[in-house]
Amino acid sequence: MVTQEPHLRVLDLVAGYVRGLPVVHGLSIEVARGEIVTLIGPNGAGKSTLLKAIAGLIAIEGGQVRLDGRQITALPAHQVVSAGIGFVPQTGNIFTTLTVHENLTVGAHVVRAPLSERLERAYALFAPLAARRGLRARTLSGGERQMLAIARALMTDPSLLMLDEPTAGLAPVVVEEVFRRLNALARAGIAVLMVEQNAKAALSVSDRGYVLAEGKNRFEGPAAALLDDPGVAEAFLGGRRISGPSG
Amino acid sequence: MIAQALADGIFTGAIIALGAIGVTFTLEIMRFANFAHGELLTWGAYLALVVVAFAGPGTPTGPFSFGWQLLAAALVAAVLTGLAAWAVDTLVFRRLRRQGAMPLTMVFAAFGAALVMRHLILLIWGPQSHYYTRELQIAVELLPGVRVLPDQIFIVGLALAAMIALHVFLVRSRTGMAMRAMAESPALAQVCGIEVDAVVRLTWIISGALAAFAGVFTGLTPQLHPEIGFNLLLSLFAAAILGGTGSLAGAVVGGFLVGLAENLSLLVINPGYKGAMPFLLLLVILLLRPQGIFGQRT
Repeated sequence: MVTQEPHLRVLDLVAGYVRGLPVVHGLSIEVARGEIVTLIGPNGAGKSTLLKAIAGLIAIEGGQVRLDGRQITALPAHQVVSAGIGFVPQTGNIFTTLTVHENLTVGAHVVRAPLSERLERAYALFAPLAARRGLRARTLSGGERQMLAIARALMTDPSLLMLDEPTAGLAPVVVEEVFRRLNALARAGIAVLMVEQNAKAALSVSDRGYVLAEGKNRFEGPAAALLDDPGVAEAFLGGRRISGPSG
Repeated sequence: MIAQALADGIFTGAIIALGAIGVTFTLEIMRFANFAHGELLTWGAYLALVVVAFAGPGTPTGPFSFGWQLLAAALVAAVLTGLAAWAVDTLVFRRLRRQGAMPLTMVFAAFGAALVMRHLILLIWGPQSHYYTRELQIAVELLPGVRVLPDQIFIVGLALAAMIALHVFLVRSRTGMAMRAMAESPALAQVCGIEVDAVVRLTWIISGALAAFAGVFTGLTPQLHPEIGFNLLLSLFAAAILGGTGSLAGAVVGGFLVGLAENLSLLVINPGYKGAMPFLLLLVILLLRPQGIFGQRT
């Protein structure tokens, strides 16, 4: 059987904020369309750095990023957006001085066609935003802000949606709501890649997971298997942090 | 007397506002204090002078001292000054930004750029004054006791039209929204697919064009000299800071308030101290309301 090229393939990626001091050392991950993949691991494991490198926000020093077989390694951020990747950063992921409507419009900056249809679709998908379209985004609640950030990232019709801790600081009911929506997006055929501190809850809605530590892959596998793995559970799912085998 | 000072203040304020918009945009989008902005006013004024030298100032139209040629010259100068501003950025500021320069480094670089730009003017056009037109204008009595030149009324009207046009552009157009997005968060703007360099280029072109208008208007009432922009620099910064650096409205209101304050102060102080007024204003603003009128205290 021929293995199909996954939608996103990251191979031996080396990246960091300062050239010569990589945070991510040779990470490899794959995400297929329709699949939710969660990255977990301790602080400083390189999870957010990996997302930023894929998004073209920081320098890639080695390895490859391929989307649908196409090389997108180290493309400038605006071209990564055009290539089909939507990114929801962890903090500062909406423009608070712009209205809800303007946030969505700016989100579709790379789309040259008229936006009315896309905007209506976003409002249909995220009904609470429709009622607040003329308000400045700073007036939104935490849950609404996260909805807006996700709706904004979806404005370009991405084939891959990346989210950095999408549930951080949200009330449990809202967390559930966010995961439910990500599930719906995946069922619609989008590839979803997220980083989560809330690892247990995130893995329970995910298909697969990767455990990262010190910028490298430590474990990977189906989400259910990671949830059941005693080592993973102890280290990353609420157990105490263990150091590497040598320390 | 007060009415006359108010009228003069509105006129000065319109010019300061045009310049302050550029200062604010540079602060918000490129995130540095461009002390070379005054020189863009001077360059705009002299570039228009070149066009006028070829085309003539035109036959005076109506009550004004100039014809359509001067307006065409101002437009040409606006485009050229916009491109010049972008060129200075490419040559100096962008290189420093890419190296992650400290704010103080940018300030010194801007002072350096300002010196070079001002002395190029001296080198090319000399230290003497120049005039767009030698037509004499008679002030008209707008209200009892308030005399203004028809040119001044025209300038205030054109400045207001430019500000309104810019406001509509920023609020309605997708490019304008991208500029406002960049001003709030360059990182998120990139994530949205906004090309940072394109917004920076556009910001320089708009700032330079408005500076050129301010320069031409200053030169028209009544003369050009190599320091017209430099002399306004402090007023521009006072206006930008007073407005709260961050919004077009702030720069415009700040510009008019600084213009009014400078002219009203002449009622009580010796005109010889006029040059100290922007300094004094800047001090008072920074002491009383450092975040500006529209700014939020952080």
